[in-house]
Amino acid sequence: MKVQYQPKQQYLLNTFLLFFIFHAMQVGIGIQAFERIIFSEAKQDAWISVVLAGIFSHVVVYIMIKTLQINGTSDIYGIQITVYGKWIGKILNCFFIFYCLLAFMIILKNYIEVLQTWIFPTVPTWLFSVSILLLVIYGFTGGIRVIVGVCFFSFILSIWMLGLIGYPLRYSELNHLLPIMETNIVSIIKGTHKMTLTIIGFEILYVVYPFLKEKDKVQKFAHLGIAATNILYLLLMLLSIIYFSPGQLEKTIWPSLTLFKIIKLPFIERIEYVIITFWLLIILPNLLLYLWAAIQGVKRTFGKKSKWVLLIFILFIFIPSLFFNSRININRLNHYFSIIAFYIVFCYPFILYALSLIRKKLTSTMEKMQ
Amino acid sequence: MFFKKKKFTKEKAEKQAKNENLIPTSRELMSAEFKKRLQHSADILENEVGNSGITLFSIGNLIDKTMLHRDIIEPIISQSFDSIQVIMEHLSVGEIRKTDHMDTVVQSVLDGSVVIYLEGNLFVLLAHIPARLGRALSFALNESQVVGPQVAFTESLMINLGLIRNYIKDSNLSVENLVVGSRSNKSVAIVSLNGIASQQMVGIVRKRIQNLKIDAILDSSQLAQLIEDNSLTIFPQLALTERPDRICDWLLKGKLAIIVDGSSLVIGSPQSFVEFFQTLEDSNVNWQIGSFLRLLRVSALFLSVFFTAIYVACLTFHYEVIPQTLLITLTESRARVPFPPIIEAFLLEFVIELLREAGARLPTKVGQTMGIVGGIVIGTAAVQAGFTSNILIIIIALAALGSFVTPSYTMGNVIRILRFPLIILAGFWGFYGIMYGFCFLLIHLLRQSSLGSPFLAPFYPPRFEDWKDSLIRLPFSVTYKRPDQTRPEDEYKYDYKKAKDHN
Amino acid sequence: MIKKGFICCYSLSFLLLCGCAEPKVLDKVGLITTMGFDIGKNGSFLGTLVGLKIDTNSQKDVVILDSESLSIRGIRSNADNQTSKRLTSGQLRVILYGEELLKNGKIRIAPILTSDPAISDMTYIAMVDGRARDLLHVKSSHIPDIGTHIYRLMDQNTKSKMMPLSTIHEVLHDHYIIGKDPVLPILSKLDNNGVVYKGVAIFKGGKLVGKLNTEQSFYIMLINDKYKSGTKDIIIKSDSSKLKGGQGLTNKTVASLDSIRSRSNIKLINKEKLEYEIEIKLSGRMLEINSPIDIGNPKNMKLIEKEIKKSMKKDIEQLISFCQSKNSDVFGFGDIYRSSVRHSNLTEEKWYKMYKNAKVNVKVDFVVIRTGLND
Repeated sequence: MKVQYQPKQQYLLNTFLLFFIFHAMQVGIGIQAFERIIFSEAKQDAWISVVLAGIFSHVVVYIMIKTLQINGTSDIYGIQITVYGKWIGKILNCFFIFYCLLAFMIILKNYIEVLQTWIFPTVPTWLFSVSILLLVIYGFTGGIRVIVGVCFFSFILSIWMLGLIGYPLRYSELNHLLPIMETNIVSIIKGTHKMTLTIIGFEILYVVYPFLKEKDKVQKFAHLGIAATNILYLLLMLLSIIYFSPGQLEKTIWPSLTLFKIIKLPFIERIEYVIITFWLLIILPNLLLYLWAAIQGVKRTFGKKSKWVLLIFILFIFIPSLFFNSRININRLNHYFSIIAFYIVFCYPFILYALSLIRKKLTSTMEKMQ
Repeated sequence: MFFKKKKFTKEKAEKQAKNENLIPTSRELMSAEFKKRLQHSADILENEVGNSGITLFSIGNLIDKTMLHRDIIEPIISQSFDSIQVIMEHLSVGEIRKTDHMDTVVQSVLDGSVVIYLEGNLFVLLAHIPARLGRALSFALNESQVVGPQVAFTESLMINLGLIRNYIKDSNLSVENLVVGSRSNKSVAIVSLNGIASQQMVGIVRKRIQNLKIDAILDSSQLAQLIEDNSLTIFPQLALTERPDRICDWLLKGKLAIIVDGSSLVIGSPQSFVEFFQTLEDSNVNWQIGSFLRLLRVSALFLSVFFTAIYVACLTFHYEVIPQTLLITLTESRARVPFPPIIEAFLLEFVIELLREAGARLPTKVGQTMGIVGGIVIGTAAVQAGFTSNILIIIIALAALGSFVTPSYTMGNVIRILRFPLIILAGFWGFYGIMYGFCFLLIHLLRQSSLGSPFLAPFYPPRFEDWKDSLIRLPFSVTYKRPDQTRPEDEYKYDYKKAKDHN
Repeated sequence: MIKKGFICCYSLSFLLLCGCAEPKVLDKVGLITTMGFDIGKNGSFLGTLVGLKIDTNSQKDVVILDSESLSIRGIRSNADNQTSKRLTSGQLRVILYGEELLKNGKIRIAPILTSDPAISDMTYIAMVDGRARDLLHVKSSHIPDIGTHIYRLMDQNTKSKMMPLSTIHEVLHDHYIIGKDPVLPILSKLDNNGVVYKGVAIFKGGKLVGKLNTEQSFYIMLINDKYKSGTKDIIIKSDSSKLKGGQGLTNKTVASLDSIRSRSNIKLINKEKLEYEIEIKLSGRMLEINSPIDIGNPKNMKLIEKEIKKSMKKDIEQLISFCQSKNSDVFGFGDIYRSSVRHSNLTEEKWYKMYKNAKVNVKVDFVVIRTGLND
């Protein structure tokens, strides 16, 4: 396979779309429930954990972009082959593909669980699973531009939800935030670690990078995108802390959704029913891009046609999605996934950066010697 | 040897074809050949002009008889000629040409020409004096608007082109003629402004029209369906209009107009989704009012597509979301209805569509009465009989009203149809179904393109410059750029810096 | 391409046909608007469910179902046995608890209900003086639908700040916080078959410990909440001769305040000795005073303000000491302690011990902004 990868002109994307890609990818299923998890570690200082996790994600993205810039126009699949050689590279590529599919499944399962708990307790899992997968297939076959289009609209069309934050704010008590920094550092760091599942999504840059038109603007828009997400997370975290009492927050499984339970508009009550179904549009870009990243990986590593790969992957996701239906199982799945994600998204980029830096130095000295 | 023989037969065949195609030298032969080619039709006209030796062939009802007498027969009747060139000098007809091909002769006769035949000559003259079949200019009835010109296109290609030229007196206006249909032989003109319109797009349209393999097209609406990017989708990707000012506005933005002879609708392309909800009137009134009207139409679109579905979803699955004040009215009106909401909604939508279709088929006055009487009588009776709830009647009437607000008839139809799958989805899956339908539509729209430019432009791919003239319309002083969607060769309408200094 | 479309269509219609969600058609379900809970025999719950009255004109009675069960959820399923429409709680507006049930203190008031996503967080909770069942069985010509009537009564009174906001969210919020106890409004049956808001119930943990009248509940809201508009009659207990009452039917001096705006602040001023300061800033229109005093005179106005302040302060101090005696922290002093003392590691038990001996200073600031149309 070729290490360098230059997509055709018509598939290229404006770099500022990276803002929407990042935002759409990060905001997904984690945002519905992260407040409780972080709070149970860091108590009223949970927002500090969120800020720390945000800063850390900026650093990781910075390193990611540096890694990509060292290697010219290539993606993670190309870089791993150059760095590790053909065989190890291919195995690691498979790992990344598997990771993308796993992320896909986590998002799908969690969303289906929310739907089943709140709205349709009797509708079987396979039905939601099949219907969403059909939608994903239809979107995927449209190509990368359509997928990024879904990202864009998912951002634009869900802005209105931010306006609803004013309602819970009315019933909030700032007291809950005090005293600041009461929790010890270890717990705060633990909370930061627990942010993994919520904050991941920017690793898509590893795959989408060759498709961006102006490579010099990538840093700017990548950081803008992450900053937007982090601000959103911080807002929600703060809001949850001041809206719920501590005991209440620890008992609420989906605080972000419960926040909306208080809203009563003159023409519609119980807006959370609308929001939960609307969430389909928010997870759709996540699903599409993870699937696309996985299939792109197969295409780059093995050069296989994407049509059959798509079918196999869809089956690969569909069949396991029928199992793990109880809350406990899903929680366990989330837990294991967040461990994997932590190493792949937060630790691995540093290793990859160091290795590609060494490799570059070596090759340049070799050239000099010759 | 073998090759030689083949070559020889080929040559022979060619020669024979050429011979057949030549103008016969004697009058009898010519007459016979002409009639044979036109299937001995009864409307063939053949007159010998005095004793000048000239014979005129034509199809009687395709030519202008007064012109025939005044401009062709009178100048030549009392003279005799020996060369076709001399005749040409004597005639005062504007459009006249010489040919020696029988095919061309027949073709132009079908187009309204008179064949001037002089015995013994290898050439004939073709004088184009078409009869004015059709009507005079009239009001734009289907796309009426209060502020702005009232004239509409007619069925004549020439008049339509004239109308356009009347608005844009620019030497750069280019008209390219093509012929479509192996049987209908329709003239189709691609009109564009050179220097603004993207030549690549003109190329795409030309290629698509030339590549058409079809026997006949009767109207531009058929041509539009044939040259669309994706003919399987329900959404129209090319717009049809009967307003010359609208076409001129599009031409100035860098779009192409496709005029089909015999059709009073002109195709404008490329077209984006949001443009189906714009009218030229938005530009003719103040920008605040224009913006308001556009927003109104887009909200009508959502109302029309989703309102009934939301009613069905709320009543079938999500009774929790209904506010208490509305709850009592709703339950009260639903209490006597024997059907589930989805069937109730379908029944009423069906009635509304029936009324609409009946109204469209009947003569205008009867149609109007039919609509009103039918609506009131059936609506009231249905509620009293307990078939539907009266709240649903309000909702469905609103939704129907919303679909009529759409300026484009083709898009209005789409909106009417889209309701039905959404009602089904809502009836089975509630809000999830509605959202599912919405996501599907979003992906579907994202996948469409119009002449290669994205259908959801300028929203996606985002061209923030063009948002100024999309869902809203900002004043002209801000919209100095042509939309990116047409990929214009000249991006600026005018130099805004200079304009700022002078205005 | 066409083939693909057909496959999509087929699979979608297949999905639709196989996987229809379970419908809850509006007119096929019984909408419970109010639930009442009482204590029954042998540790069971007595439930009273009120359905929505659909036809407001008809003389038919509202659907009221009585059922008994060992669990709260069981009440609904037992009541299902008595109805033609399946009961749902998605439109539940008010939950009423009988006095005995709350005195028992063994049930957690709201938590049981919130795990049902169909129940809104904005559902009101109230306590009934006596049995909830008796209140819900009130029959009166001016109350066509008792459930809706109670909901509107509570809604109206909450919005005009006569009643403390006691939605599920608020009650849960106070229930789950260490150092604050929830309050519930008390509804009571009138002799002539009406419903009346009678005061506020105070709790310790989940247990009913005392009742306050509406006078006192006003002060609770004054301290806990921000007023934007409210009305209140203040009885001025003054020795000043100028403010002698007796113009009206009573010989007490009463000033009627209107459009009250308030702002309150509780501060912990001494962490060791546990001393609080409550600062209340209050302003409003005084529309009526039943004493012959000339309110056009600024001096007199000052006097009235001063006296009102004084009597308010007295009332508030009384209220606080009453709450302390009942060991119910309705003002959330504990939460303030937690938020201003680092590493306090507050627990319920620890706090209740400390709370009894807390000292509270009250500062009231009151300004009459205007006196209506008359001077």
